[in-house]
Amino acid sequence: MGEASVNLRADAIRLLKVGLRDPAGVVAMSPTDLDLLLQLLRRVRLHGRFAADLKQAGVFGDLPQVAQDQLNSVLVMAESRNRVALWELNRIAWAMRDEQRVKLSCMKGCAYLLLALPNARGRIFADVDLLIQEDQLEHVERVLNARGWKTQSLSAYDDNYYRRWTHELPPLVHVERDVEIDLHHNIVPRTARLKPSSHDLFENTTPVKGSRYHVLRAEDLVLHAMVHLMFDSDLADKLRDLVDIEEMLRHFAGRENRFWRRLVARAGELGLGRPLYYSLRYARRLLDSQIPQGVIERTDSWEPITPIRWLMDRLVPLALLPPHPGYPDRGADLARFLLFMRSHWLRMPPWLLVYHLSYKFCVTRFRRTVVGRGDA
Amino acid sequence: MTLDVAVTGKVSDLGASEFSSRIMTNGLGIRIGPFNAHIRVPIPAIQQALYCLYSDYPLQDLNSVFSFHAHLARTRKFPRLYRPLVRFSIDGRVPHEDMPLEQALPVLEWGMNLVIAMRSHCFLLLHAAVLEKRGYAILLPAAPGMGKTTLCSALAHRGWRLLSDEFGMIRPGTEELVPVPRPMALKNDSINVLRTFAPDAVISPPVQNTRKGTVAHVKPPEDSVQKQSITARAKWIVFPRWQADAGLSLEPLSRSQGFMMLAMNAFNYDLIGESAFRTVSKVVSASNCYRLVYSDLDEAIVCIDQLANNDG
Amino acid sequence: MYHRPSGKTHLLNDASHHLLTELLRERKDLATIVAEFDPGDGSVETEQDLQRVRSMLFRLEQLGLIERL
Repeated sequence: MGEASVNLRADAIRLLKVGLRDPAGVVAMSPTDLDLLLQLLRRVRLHGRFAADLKQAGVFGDLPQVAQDQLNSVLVMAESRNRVALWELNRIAWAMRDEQRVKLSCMKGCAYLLLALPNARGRIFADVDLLIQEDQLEHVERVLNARGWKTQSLSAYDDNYYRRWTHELPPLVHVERDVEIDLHHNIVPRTARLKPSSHDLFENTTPVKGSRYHVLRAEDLVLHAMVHLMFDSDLADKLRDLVDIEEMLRHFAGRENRFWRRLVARAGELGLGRPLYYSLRYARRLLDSQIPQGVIERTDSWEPITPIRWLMDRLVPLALLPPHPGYPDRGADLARFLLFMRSHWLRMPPWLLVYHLSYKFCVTRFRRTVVGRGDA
Repeated sequence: MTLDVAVTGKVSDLGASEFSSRIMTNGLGIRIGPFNAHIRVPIPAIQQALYCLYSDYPLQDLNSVFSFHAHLARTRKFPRLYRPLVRFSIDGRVPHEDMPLEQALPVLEWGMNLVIAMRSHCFLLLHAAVLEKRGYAILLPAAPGMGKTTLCSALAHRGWRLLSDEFGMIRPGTEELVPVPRPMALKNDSINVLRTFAPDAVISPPVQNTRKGTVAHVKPPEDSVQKQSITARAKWIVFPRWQADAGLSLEPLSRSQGFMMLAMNAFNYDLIGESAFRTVSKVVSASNCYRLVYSDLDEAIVCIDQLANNDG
Repeated sequence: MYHRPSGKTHLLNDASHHLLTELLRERKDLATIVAEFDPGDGSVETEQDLQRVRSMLFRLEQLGLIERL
């Protein structure tokens, strides 16, 4: 099974690369290969982007109807989510109309949308993420509450967890719409090992023309995506996030003055060298990304000790890349489990981690005992 | 893994034992409306029922692009020690908890309906039964529990061609209803109601204690599967409601009432956006809309037949 | 009515429909709107009428159908 699964994995990766880079090549694929490719892309939520690429290349209509239907379906969903996102931003701006002194900066998906970045194409938008100055957070929450947004009701423990330990308030949702709004004052949790200066991030935003909103500067936007992927997630099936990063790097490198230099310098300023190192490394190894040699040399200074690097080199691809849908992959399961533990480890100091996991464990046990068997 | 040799023809061309041999190993490709379904079910207990329900469906070469890959398999290795369970998965992902083995068939059917609903936003999807007569379609939009499947399966055995008992599918921009004939799930008392009404109906053995009570599946009539690539233009929209001891009443609705009720019965209306608005407007404009309340199935059928005859 | 920016479909009663159609033609201030709602039976505008119109306008604004300038 070991060798068979390696071959299957290699085949899957080969197909994925064609899917991500070569629309014309896709049309020449056998139906079996195309079918597998669609499953792989769907697993890592890149099928929307794939559909957009094929449309742009003018080859979408050459696909079998069954493929066109599925892909049109996801494009409809992506467009719907974009519309919902932009409308939510519109309504927030309306609610904050009398609060002009509050700067609202967009991060992640909203920012990609507002800037019409290439990686926004076919992307299924999730939540609205706004960066707000720390001392204004609760004020903004109150204003939005007054205008119809409700803070998600959580247990007292979870509510406290959010407010004290992470960088977010509990999410807000408007009573008439179904979009989550996350208000942040930094890009990492307060207790995380990385500690970029929130003041720096906040001061250096760029206004978006014709909009109430700002966005993070190009290098901050990219670094945030890198931190989010490598230090704030379990990496499972998150290939899309790496593709986002890679696309932003290409886009900004071609447009922004001295982008690479600014990116590296900024990573140093904010203490985000390690996420930068990892992101560039795996973009190269998994996506054949072209990174200037000078940048690689400079970021090598942020590499971890060899055993850790060796381990990450083995685990990260198994998590980011989709498993073959037809065959269980024990190696990938284990890698994902280990990276899941890692993501918790990184979000909080050890004593808090133990406390948090014990609490959650006890709560689950207690609930199960009280409610009885078969309540799932 | 050896690929199936290119196959054409129907499931019944294979015969029961070849059908089982394939569906229990590499799986079988089956064409259902506009979808290519790859189904793999290594469960001996439901082979007979599956073969029967799906016998008229066209086979789909395994070397095709599929709309989804459905897999249902046993999860416990020692049935004597533990309660035997089945696990449903789509494209290798498990969407819900394992279910009792006795419920294998409903679990498979509901699972496939779920994945169809989630991947069909290229269509406007209505909670509606759809049937055709003389080239025109009648839509019966209703929320679950209103009796539309019973009414639909009865009509399907009285000269109406079944397009769907659950999903009214329309390609946005058109008024054409796209067929997706599937085994029809009847619950509790409806099972006997249909048996009495249409003794020639083919119904799978009832399964008890599901989350919806007792469930049995009705095989879609052969012509509905044979003609599953033929669309029909909407002409009548009837919002049905079964109510015990109610008399029969058929009440015409205004266009705006019809619009509102049809839009409310569309799964993905908001998702599709403007073209949903336009499509519903078009369909409502092209059709006559009614509200139907009934307690007697025969009366309801006569009423609907009359409607179709009078309106031309 | 389909509202493109929000993607929402709204079912309007006569009053809202009339109001929106009017506002599409030209912008109006609150006093004019209230005056135009006059049922024409000679009754005087009350504070209650004013409040009713204000609520309706606020609701339409909340839905994003109109904009206060």
